Amino acid sequence: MIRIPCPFCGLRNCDEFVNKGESKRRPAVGAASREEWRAYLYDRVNPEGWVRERWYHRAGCRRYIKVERHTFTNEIRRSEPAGT
Amino acid sequence: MADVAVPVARSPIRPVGGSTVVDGWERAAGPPRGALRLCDLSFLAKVQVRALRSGTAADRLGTGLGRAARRSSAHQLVIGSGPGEWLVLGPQGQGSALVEELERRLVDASGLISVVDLTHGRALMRLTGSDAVRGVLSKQCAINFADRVVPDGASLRSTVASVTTDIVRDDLGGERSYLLHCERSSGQYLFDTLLDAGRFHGIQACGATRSDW
Repeated sequence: MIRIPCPFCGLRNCDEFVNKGESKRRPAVGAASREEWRAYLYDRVNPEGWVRERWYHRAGCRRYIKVERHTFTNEIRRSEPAGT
Repeated sequence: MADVAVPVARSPIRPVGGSTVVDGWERAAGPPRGALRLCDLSFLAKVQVRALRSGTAADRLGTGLGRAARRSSAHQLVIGSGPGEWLVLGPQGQGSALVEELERRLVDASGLISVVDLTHGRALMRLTGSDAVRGVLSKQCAINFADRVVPDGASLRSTVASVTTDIVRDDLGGERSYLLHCERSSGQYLFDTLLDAGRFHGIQACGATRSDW
């Protein structure tokens, strides 16, 4: 079981969350090429190692949070509110 | 409160052991009994406030995230149910008055503020009893309900029987008690599931009394 330290609610079961995928910067609207939009929407690095992800705490504070998770061990070393 | 014959509002939870109509609300009539009791409090006024997490509105509401406090003068329970989100419980039939009062209190607070009456859209129940209450909740919820983690006056949102539920520890006269607040459509399921989980401990469904609020 993955347990995620929510910055608002504390340590919670991952069943309460929705994984929103790897955290990445959105291209500038109007300035980005079609290729940049495609990469933003569909490309994933998917490493075996540390990855920054966005999770939504659906059954808790209902906030988006940023989490650093190891994709092999599921260890989580950092979490913070999204937008910080 | 005056009894009328025809209810104009019904709880999402079917009354157990007969019903009565109080101020237009159909309510369970069974008297409180047993050491472990579950009663439906959906008739209470429930108002949600959303505002900036910190600032004037948060100061005036006076309850931080994860805490619940009573305003005894107004018979209100103010619950910090989320970051920038509060649930205010009030007496039956006071939903509109509560909305007006909160809007007056927050009228000049900074940021976007919304005050919404959720009374008829949510279910609310109270689980009261001895330490067995912890056992019942622990069967359906992954939270550690030890006193050091969830003391009296604590509030949290998690899943109970897979239903997203606001849980408020609100002891009554030293007796362990929890308020459970969820979407209306999940109310009957949550009520039945808690009765099932508490059968081993001798749980009883009963009507609400003044002391439950």
